[in-house]
Amino acid sequence: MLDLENKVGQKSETLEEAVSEEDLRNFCEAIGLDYNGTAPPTYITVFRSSEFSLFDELDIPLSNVLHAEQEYNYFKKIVPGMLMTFATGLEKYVVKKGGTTRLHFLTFQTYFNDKQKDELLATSKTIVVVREKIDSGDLND
Amino acid sequence: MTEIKFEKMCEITRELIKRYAFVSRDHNPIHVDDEVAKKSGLPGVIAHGMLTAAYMAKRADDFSLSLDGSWEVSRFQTRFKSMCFPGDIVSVGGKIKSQTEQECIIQIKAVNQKDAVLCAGVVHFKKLAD
Repeated sequence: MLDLENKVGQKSETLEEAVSEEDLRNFCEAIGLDYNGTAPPTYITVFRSSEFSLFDELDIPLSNVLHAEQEYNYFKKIVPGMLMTFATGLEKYVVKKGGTTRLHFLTFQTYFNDKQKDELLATSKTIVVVREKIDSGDLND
Repeated sequence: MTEIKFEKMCEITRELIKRYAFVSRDHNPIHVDDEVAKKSGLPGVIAHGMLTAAYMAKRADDFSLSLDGSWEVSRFQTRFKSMCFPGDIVSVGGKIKSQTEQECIIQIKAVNQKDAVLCAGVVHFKKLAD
């Protein structure tokens, strides 16, 4: 049984990555956007690796994860060549029971910084739902 | 409130989902592998919520071009309401919630061909200095 109650506050490692113009162009092209030299608003989703590594650390099976909510706040433009650092923390955890399924709501917060300028670029709040089948023996807990 | 006309943004195909998985680096197998999706209790593969959200952002960007001056997105928020499947046709529209000299806030949603809401949220724009 997944129990993440005592994992709230856990943080991923801080990762570092340069914003690649080629990756940015490919992203824009895939959704039919004209590339204009800056990242479109949802491009920052590309840097979810710190969040995915936290899923791993928390033993959350990716195929049971559904995205429930996403919020980004932007403070600076994200442009190619920029060196970003980012880390994700588990901010909130709520469990709800429905029939034979347990729904785990996890809120992750990620901070993105411009490493060279030491400035906050953006924040991301991701809420995911992890669905877990309840074994019949567990139904009464 | 001023309406933001619904516009057809795309038809979701398996190829588009695969391509988005690659460019967004979200390799959750429920988006590309029917077997895994079914084992996870889904009817089959579903599109990434962030793929639909990318079209919301695209429509929001198009809308901002209709405003006087130059604007940029300062906040983007969306809730994923229902699953989006291959074959779905995604349209996005909404309305202006509030507008001042410096900030414009819109409510925006993506719907499929059956008018089911796929995701709904708000986008804040701030005006750039001339």
